[in-house]
Amino acid sequence: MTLSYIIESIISGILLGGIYAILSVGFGLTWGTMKVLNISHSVFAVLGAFVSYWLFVKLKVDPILSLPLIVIILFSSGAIIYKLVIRPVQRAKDVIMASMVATFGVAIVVENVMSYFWRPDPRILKPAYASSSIFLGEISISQGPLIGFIMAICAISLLYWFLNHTYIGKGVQATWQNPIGAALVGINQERVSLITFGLSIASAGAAGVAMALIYAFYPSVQSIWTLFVFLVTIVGGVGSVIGTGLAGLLIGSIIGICAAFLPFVWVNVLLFALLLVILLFKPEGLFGN
Amino acid sequence: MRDKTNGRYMKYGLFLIVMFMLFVFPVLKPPLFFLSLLFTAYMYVALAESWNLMGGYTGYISLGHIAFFSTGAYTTAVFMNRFGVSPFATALLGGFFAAVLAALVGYPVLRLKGAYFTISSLLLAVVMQLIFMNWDFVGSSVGLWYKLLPVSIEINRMIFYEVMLFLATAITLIVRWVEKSKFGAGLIAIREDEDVAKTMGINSPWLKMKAFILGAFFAGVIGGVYGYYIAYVHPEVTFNINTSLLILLMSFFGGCRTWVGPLFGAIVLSLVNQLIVTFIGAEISRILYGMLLVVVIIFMPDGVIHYIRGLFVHRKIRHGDSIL
Amino acid sequence: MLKVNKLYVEYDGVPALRDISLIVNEKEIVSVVGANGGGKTTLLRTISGLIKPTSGTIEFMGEEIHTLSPHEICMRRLIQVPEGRQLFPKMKVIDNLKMGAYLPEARKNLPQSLERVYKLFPIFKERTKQKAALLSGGEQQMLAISRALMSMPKLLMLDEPSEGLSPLFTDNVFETLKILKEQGMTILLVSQEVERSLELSDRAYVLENGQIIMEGKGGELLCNDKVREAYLGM
Ligand SMILES: Nc1ncnc2c1ncn2[C@@H]1O[C@H](COP(=O)(O)OP(=O)(O)OP(=O)(O)O)[C@@H](O)[C@H]1O
Ligand SMILES: [Mg+2]
Repeated sequence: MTLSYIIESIISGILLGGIYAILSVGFGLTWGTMKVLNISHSVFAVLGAFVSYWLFVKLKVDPILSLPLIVIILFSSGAIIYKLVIRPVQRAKDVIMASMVATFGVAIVVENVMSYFWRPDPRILKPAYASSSIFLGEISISQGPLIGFIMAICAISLLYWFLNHTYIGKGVQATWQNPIGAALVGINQERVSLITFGLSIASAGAAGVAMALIYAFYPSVQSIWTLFVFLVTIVGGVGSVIGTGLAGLLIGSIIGICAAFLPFVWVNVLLFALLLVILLFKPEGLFGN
Repeated sequence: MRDKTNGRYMKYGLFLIVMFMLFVFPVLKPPLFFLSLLFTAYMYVALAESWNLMGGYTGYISLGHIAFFSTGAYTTAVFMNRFGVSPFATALLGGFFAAVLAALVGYPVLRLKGAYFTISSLLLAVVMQLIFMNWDFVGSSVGLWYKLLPVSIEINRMIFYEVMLFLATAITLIVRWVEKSKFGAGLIAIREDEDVAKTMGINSPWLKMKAFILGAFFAGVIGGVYGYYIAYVHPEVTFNINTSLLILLMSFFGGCRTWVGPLFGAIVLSLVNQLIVTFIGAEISRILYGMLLVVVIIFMPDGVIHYIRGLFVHRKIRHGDSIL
Repeated sequence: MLKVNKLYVEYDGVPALRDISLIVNEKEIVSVVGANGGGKTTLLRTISGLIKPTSGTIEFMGEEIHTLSPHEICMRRLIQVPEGRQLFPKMKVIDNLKMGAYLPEARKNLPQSLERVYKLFPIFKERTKQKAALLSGGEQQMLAISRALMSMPKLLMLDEPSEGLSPLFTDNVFETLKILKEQGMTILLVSQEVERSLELSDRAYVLENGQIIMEGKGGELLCNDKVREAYLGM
């Protein structure tokens, strides 16, 4: 086992972690601000991956170019789901639980619609550049993960900018910090919720494209992605964009280091055991305040 | 007064008649398909009732029930495979191991609330699945096989049918009894408001623990029998997360605040599910399932049973009004 | 300007307000006083649209508003300083103020509104970057009032603005209200500082157990024996 192998492993772990972060950030956002625990989050990531895949295979549109379109499509899907499912559920007494069950239903529907129309086979998004690598001395970095990572960083930065530098974004934060106060300064909570949910789903879609550049995807992979979403969100602290970003990178590094020494399955056992421990002793997350 | 006792006798009578009919049903030599259909329905009744002890009464939604179920299945499989002991003899032991597991994880996990509890219970199942997948003693990713009973398939199905019917009945009756006991009242107080319950002198950690362990024990026993029924255990089959979700769905669908809810939900949904899977296809059936879940939670957040009762009560009140 | 007519409000079937009628005219200060649990907060929350009444109407500038949602009511510049302040604790002072000017109309006027607030409370000019949670209770109350002013209220409602404050800050609050009155602001004040509120007010209502049991000019009520006995301990 050479040093460059270990470094490569860590780098690819970190790249992966960045993508996990964008996959998770929207999930934490709806959980934190809207008290909606959206189990269907990752299913929309898979949907994003599929749309990107079809655009690439059928129409030869490069995944990077089709990304804005995917964001728009998924934002709209999110808005529709919000109107149809989330809005009614928000009237429930225990919003978190009711939303969990309802969005679980959504996840089942979307997953199986995808697997009905597109078959459950694994697919991978492979534009020409994704299979080549960059070399830094002896260390090689594959371009697929690198491009996915760059996409993820851009998406997170955009989201961060939106939340902290636009009025609506600040409205989202205000609603989260104090819903009554927010209502009394004239924030339209329904609209804020719709935009939050739409953005969350849109970011999931972007993450799905990035994931598809690295891993094979298929409709039921969403439940595995969901586990990683839980992992990153809870380590990072629910609803903190920066925390989620850091958690993604941290977990990525851990995956990278462990993967250099351990078989992959044990890496997962280790990670989820770690998550259990964090849940038990620091449920507010390592980077939450 | 007299009416009431008469009503109660009628209820018991009806119950006994229905049980007797279900009990003798296999003697009529129905197609095997019906026996497995009902076996599965009974199993879900038993699972949903046992899940409901925790998930329904206290409102601690667990997605880890499948971990206890699998513990039971693996116990009977290992004992049969390694030592040749019959699963019918070790199913209770499976329940016992599941209960021990529940006690061990329950101590830390039951301190968590709401979504945090739910996620950690899910993680328990996931971690166990990953471990079993790589643990050679329990067959890792190949699984373990049971030796079949040396009888014809008809007799085999009949035996399992009766065993599961017994389990479902017993567990439902026990859960019903718990619901009406002081223990049950404590659990329901926890769901209403755990802090208030504590100030009323309810020992909530202990009650939760008891409910969790009892539910796990039942799940373990059911799992032990189920493994034998399908004749093998495999991490991806026994630990299938969808089973956990299905159980939850059944309880929610029926209404998880009474013992009737999971019973009703499990029977209706497992029959509907099996029939659509058989005649239409797995994907469509799951799509319908998912939609059902969404619709139920939107329009009947307290479950079908409560919704129906609600209609009934309203009718009564309106009726009463007209008399006044 | 504000006209509440035969208002009934319930919490889960338990009545909290019964047959409340009340009027606030332009440029008036009107107080609502009464013991704890009388329903004062419920009244203001209902006017702001946070709670829907079971029956009765609320009119503001000739328009029925009781069916509108809170942000639509804000848009009509009927603004509340709520009980418990309800600030955004993790936001800076300046961001709390900016959130007050969230709606487009107020946003256009942001610099002038800030100017006005800084004139009233110069400390905020120096502390723009401080987190709201780190302000003292009195300062938080000032910030809550300032945030409401940022929304350019036509009618300002305050729910116990002096609750839990030291005498010094209480003086400050009432001083501020006096200044606002001189500037021509219309105010609906809920307070347990019965004497000072009545002194300041043009008119007042006494709310007990969800019902209005007395109303009149501020000075008149102040001389009323019952009021003196019940609220002023004389
Ligand atoms: N969210 C609620 N749910 C149920 N009942 C409530 C709720 N809020 C207030 N109440 C009840 O309504 C009544 C009026 O309460 P309200 O807060 O309006 O009184 P208040 O006059 O503002 O009292 P205080 O002087 O203590 O602020 C009280 O009996 C209270 O218990
Ligand atoms: Mg009050």
